[in-house]
Amino acid sequence: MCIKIPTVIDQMSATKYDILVVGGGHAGVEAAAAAARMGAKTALITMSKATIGEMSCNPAIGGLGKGHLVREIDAMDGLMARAIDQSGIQFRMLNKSRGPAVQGPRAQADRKLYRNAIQTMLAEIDHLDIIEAAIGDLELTNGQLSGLIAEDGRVFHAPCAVLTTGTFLGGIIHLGPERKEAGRFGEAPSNLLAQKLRDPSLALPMARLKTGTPARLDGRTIDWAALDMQPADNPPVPFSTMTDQITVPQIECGITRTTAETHKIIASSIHLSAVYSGQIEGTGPRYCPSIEDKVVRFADRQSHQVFLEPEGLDDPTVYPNGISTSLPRDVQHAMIKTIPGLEKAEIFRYGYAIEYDYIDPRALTRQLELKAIPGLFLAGQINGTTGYEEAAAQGLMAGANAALKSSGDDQAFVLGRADAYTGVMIDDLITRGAPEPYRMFTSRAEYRLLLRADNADQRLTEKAMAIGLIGKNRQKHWHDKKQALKDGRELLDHVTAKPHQLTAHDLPVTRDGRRQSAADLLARDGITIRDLVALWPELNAIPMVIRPQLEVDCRYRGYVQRQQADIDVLRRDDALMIPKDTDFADIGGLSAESIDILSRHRPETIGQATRLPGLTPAAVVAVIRYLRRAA
Amino acid sequence: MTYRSDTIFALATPPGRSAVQIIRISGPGAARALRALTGKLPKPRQAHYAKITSRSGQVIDHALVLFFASPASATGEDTAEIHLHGSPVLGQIVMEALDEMQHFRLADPGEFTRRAFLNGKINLDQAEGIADIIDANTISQHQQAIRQLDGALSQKTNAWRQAIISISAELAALIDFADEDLPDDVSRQMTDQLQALIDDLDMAFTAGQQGMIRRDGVRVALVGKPNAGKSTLLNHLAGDDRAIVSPEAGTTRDLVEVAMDIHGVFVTLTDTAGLRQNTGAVETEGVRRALNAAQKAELVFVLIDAQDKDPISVFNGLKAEIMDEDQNPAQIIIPLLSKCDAFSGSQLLPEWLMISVKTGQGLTELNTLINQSLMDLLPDGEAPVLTRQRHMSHVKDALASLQNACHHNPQTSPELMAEDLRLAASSLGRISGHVDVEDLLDHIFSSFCIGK
Repeated sequence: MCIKIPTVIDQMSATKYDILVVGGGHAGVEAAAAAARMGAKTALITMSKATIGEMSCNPAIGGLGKGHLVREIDAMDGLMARAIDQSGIQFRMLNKSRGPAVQGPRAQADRKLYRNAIQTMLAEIDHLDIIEAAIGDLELTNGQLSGLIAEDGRVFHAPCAVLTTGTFLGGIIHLGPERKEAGRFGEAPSNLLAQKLRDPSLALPMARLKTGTPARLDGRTIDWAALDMQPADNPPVPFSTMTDQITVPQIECGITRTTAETHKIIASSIHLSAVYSGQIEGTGPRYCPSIEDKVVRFADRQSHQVFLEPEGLDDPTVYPNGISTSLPRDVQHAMIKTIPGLEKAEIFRYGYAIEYDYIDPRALTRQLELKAIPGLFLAGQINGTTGYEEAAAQGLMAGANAALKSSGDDQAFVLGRADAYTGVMIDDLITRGAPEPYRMFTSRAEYRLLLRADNADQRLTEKAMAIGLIGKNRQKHWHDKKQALKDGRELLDHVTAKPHQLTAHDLPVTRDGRRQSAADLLARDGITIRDLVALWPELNAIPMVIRPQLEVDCRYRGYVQRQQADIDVLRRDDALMIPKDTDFADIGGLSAESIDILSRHRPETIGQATRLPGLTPAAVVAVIRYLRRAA
Repeated sequence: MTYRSDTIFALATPPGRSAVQIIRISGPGAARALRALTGKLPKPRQAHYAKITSRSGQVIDHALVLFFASPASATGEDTAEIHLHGSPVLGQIVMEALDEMQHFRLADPGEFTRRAFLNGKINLDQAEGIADIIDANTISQHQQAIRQLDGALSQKTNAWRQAIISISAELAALIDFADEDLPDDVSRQMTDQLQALIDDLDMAFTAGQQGMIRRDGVRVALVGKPNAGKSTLLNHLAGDDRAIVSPEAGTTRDLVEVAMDIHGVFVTLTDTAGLRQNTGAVETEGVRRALNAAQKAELVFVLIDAQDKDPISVFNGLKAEIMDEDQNPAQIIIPLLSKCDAFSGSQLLPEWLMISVKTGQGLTELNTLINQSLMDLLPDGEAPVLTRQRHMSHVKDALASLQNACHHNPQTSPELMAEDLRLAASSLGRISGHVDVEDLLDHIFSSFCIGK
């Protein structure tokens, strides 16, 4: 383990890197690790080494849609899945009673263990320096990024940088009437950098978003005996394909509810909430409302659920999930006391809302590079997203693309909507922007039955390998698994039986009485490979670890095949590039409105153009015709 | 050279000698064309009298000219109309003059409408509505086409899409917010909404089948054994109506079709070969065609010689051969006892109409019967919004997907239910041109005629 910190730095001397990553949150960590894995000389620049890998808000990783992202990060050899496997204290598979495509792994983390796991993994990566500095300015040469300048004057040179500023960019914390400039509670914001990016000469489309966090409670003052408890899954299912089993002890969480009294207190103090007093200009996420939002918007609801989530095995801090707030301290205090089990709860830290700068992600290319400043990549909350997983997935993609660019390789590492949730997210961001903080949902993916948490490695590892993003260990692991899956699939298609044989084993037959393969039978609800080994003993040869995936593949096969035609069209459209210098006003048959939309967004591909809000299919056809004529 | 720089022109009226002929021009050069031909540009949207001159300054014709400035025009581009006197030679001269102008060319089939579509002036089903207005043969067809142009179809399909979106949204909530406390009755409501949507689509599909009949005309077939009096009846019905549009006389062994307008309903009346077995090759083919025509017809009259010994079994035998509940569920099959002037026996089947073209017996009743049958086939009430085979097939696909969606349990297989809903939404989206339009465009626009 060696964390290199430049000790003597002359203000005039400059340090040269291939990639600079600003920020040590989930986006920054994955960006730096990805770039370094690809062999780029990388520096991770953070204001505080100690908080690298910090979970600023809720101590949990995964969930619906988000869990898929974590599996995808893992499939591309990112850190998040392995870190949570080493620090998760309550693993649960969400939607376990529903179809495998919409099951989402989630785990609560011991915050300290998580941070340690990330910092340890980073320390083991070659070509990666970790530097403490507050970046305050960009160095541009001929309009291209050439370096970053720290607030203390240090200069770092690199052709590419990834900014992952989280909530630090112009961050302001609101707690009732209190208002404080901060990146996180008790940490300084990045005001100089925010100022620089707002500089009119850069013409970056900047706006404000907000998010919130609840008070943190002292678990020793909670009446756990009075609460319903939610246990972890047994056995816990790991996130990473590289993890054999979870060894961290598993704990239970408490469940309680707000009461009529809670709602009364909130309603009578609503004007004091920073969100409602007009003190905040940023837009907040609709799906992660503060408790005051819930009370106002769902006035007919008598009660709202609150999960009490311990933040660590040896940490008394408890995160009350569901009551994020920006009400004044005394109101928070009074409100919490009305919740069953929390009557005597002590508050370690009050909840607050935070607003911060972000850049409209429509200003980005598919590589997450700013169109206006070549070499400058953005990832995470600065792009208008919310959530650790969203940030990490972008960080990985930005880091990989920055590394490709700095190595002089002009190929882009782009995942499409039919490849990955990561691809869906980035495509959504760059074509539709983020009018509210963007969170991943499984419903955002058209090809949800194909993009599953269980097959992330089969979808992505090979693509990532092609650009050198995958370490040796995982390469070997992946090849073995791929072969086993291929053999298993062939076997399931190969073995068939006539109706009378099936009936003899209590297996269903079709109405037309045709032969059925093992794969046919697995497409039916409730049938597993285990139910078939009596009829076909050779299926016993299929390794246990890959059986669930084979079963899921069979279950969805009919649907996925039907989607294939759509996917082919999508891939064809995404592959049809629109030249950067296209003058849309020159294309015949386009309405003024269409020309305006196209000129503002400058889609890189026909696929992106088809997804631009407000652009008619007819306009897209006109662009295609124009490109064909020009070709 | 870009698409935009082309100005297109075409004769908008049927070719041939007439009182007036109209040449339409659309594109950036429309104003230039009027200046060149008339020496001035009229005020937009006003009819002006002008002298059309050749390049040598010779007056060719006195004409009415109109100019519409972009975007307030049918195509969204600058457009012009020149109303000339209806001499083919005159039209030819003006068209040649236009053709010589830079970046001017004769319009491709349907290109005016295509440009209107590309410029967002009309949507896909409105474009189809225009084609239908031009092709409309009867008032009833015309009203239907106008409705489509008004966007009735878009409104309906959008309402369906909204319903699907609403159901899908609830499913999405079940899936993506599994760990939140959702109301218990979400999946129950969803199932009810889904069933209501299926019923609505089903009704529209049935009405659409009627709409298709209205658009394509009601097919009426006369069938029966040889010499049952079918041709005589056809000649009577067609002659009486004086509405013969295109009689296609083949041999007596082939089909004879007559297009007619009966009280505003477009009807194709088909006389078929007599149905009998063990005949020569040509007649066997004729019999096959006769059966085929009868199977497709919405209204079938089975003519049976009043002197036939066993009319009921003759009728039942033919009816069994013709009927196809799956393909043609609305079909009406009616027996007629013909040649009753030569029949002196007593009426054994009082509910069967007896006719004689020779004496005129039963013909008034037959007219009433035909009108009544047409009304049964095309009931008044809500006019159909689905009027084209393309719409019907997309709605059919959507219905199938929605029915599949119904089979899944929203609690245990919400992802499969959601997928079926997604497929349904995408099928419906194809009607208003929201998805993969490109494949449709060439097909749709190539079925248009120049100058529309």
